[in-house]
Amino acid sequence: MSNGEQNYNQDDRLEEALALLAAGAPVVDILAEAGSDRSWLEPLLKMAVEAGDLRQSIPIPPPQASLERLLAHGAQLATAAAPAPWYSGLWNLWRGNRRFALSGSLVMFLLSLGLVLTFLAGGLLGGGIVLAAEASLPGQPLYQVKQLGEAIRLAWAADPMERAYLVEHFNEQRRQEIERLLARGDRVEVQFTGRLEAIEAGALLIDDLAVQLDPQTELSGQLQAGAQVRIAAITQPPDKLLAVSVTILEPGPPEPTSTLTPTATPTAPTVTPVRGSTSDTIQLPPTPTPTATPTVVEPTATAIPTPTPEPVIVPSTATASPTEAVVGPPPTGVPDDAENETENEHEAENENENENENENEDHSGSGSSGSDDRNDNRDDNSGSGGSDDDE
Amino acid sequence: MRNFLALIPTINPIMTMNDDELFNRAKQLEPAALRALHQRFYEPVARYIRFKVADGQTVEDLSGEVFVRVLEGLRRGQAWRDSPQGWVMGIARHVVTDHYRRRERAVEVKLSDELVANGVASPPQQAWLNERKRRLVQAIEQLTEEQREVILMRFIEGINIEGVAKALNKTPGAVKGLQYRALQALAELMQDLPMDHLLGVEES
Repeated sequence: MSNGEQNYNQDDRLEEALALLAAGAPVVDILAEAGSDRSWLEPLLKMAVEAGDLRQSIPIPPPQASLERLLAHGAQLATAAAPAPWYSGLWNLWRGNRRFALSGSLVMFLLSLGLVLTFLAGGLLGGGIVLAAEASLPGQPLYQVKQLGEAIRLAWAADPMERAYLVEHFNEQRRQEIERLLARGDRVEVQFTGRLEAIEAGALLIDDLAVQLDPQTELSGQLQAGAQVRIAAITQPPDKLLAVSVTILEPGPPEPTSTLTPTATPTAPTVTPVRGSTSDTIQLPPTPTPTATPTVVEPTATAIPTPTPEPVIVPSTATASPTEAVVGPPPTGVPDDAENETENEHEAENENENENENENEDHSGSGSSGSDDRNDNRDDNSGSGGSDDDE
Repeated sequence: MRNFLALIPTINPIMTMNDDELFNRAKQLEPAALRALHQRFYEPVARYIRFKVADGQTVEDLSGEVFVRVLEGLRRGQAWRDSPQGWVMGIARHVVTDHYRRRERAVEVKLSDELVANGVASPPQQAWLNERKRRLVQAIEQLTEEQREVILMRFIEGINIEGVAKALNKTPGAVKGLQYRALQALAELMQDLPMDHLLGVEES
């Protein structure tokens, strides 16, 4: 038997005796039954008992401080473990509590998500408003949004053909709006432009739309078939439209006899359509229009001093003073296509054509018209493109 | 009636529950369970630390540190089930070790100088007992680190072999060997002052 095995056996034997001692057996009894092991077991058991007696003699501090520290730590853990309220991340951020603010990454995520959702909702809302405005009618709150949208589309229309198409499209919408208003039975003031197709007794036919006239209707300019007019009217259900004001934007075409003379007669040059002079003289006493649209009188060369065969209606109720009349401003409000149309119709009158061209040049220099704005935009774009190239 | 009822001692069931249940409830941060846990283990922890550390203030601080680590260990789900007491004493051992790593063994007051004997012995007998205890503490301090740990935990605190094995991160067989050698070393160190001498002095 080796020493290792003997020690191992003594280790177990000692543990057995210590177990009896821990169970309350007296040392004397344990040793009495130890037999041959008693000689080495006795001093070890006595030392175990004596070491155990030291327990009562070792001074220790009172437990209060240790207990309070444990309870405080437990409370701190309990606070940290509690589910944080939804605003805690923001609160900690506000207080600058970086430790817990960092743990509030969920809050940051939710904030980001909320921001994205806000933009989405804003986009959807904006889109919904635009769609709703498209279906709105005059007199409704969203109609101004519709008008603003149309103005923006016109301003962004760079191509004259596109611009002309938009003008026609919007006029068509006006007519549809009027029909819907009449169908609904609403009495609302509407405004639209169109070409005067016929003048009847007490009524105007404008793009297949009959507009009633009454003594209260304000007329600016001479009504003439073919003229481009702006109408402000009030819907009169079930099927009438009562004109409030009629503004001549562009006079009607001249007499065929005067236009179909390529070889101009000596009398033709006698017509001196000086802007703001002779053309205004043939206008009816101008009346202020209730609309904000500037009344433009086109000083074209088509004005013929002779009375036109078309019936002329002179409003009897025109009370405005002549000083309020719009007297021949530069025709900045006339669309380009309209001007071109006019030019095509009067190619024979070279002087006038040259004058119109000069006016166009002046406008492009003034930058006051929509087409001029487009030119400016192009310049800006090209300038920016050049700078990009430089870079 | 109310005063009479107030005199009836209330038994807090949490103080009598077993270690497993107590630890589980302490893990849930119940203040009552934390109090019971502290009450159950404070004295062994403080005594163990007192045996190794100089002053009472440090014993107080390190004891608090032990219980904070115990609670954190419970929250992390550390393995304590096989021997809760051994697990706690193992934490106390680490705390003391960390303390000495930080302080590089500062000035230490010997426990043997502060021991006060208890009991009802006569003055000469008490004086001899005090001397005996002081010598025993000195002898324990002369043991190896592991032998000293076994004496403190196994005999002063009464922790079983498995608990000491867990605290020391050893096998039960190794702890049995350690306790044999530790008791044998103590007996040799104390043999010049045998207990029988007490009776001889008393008789003379």
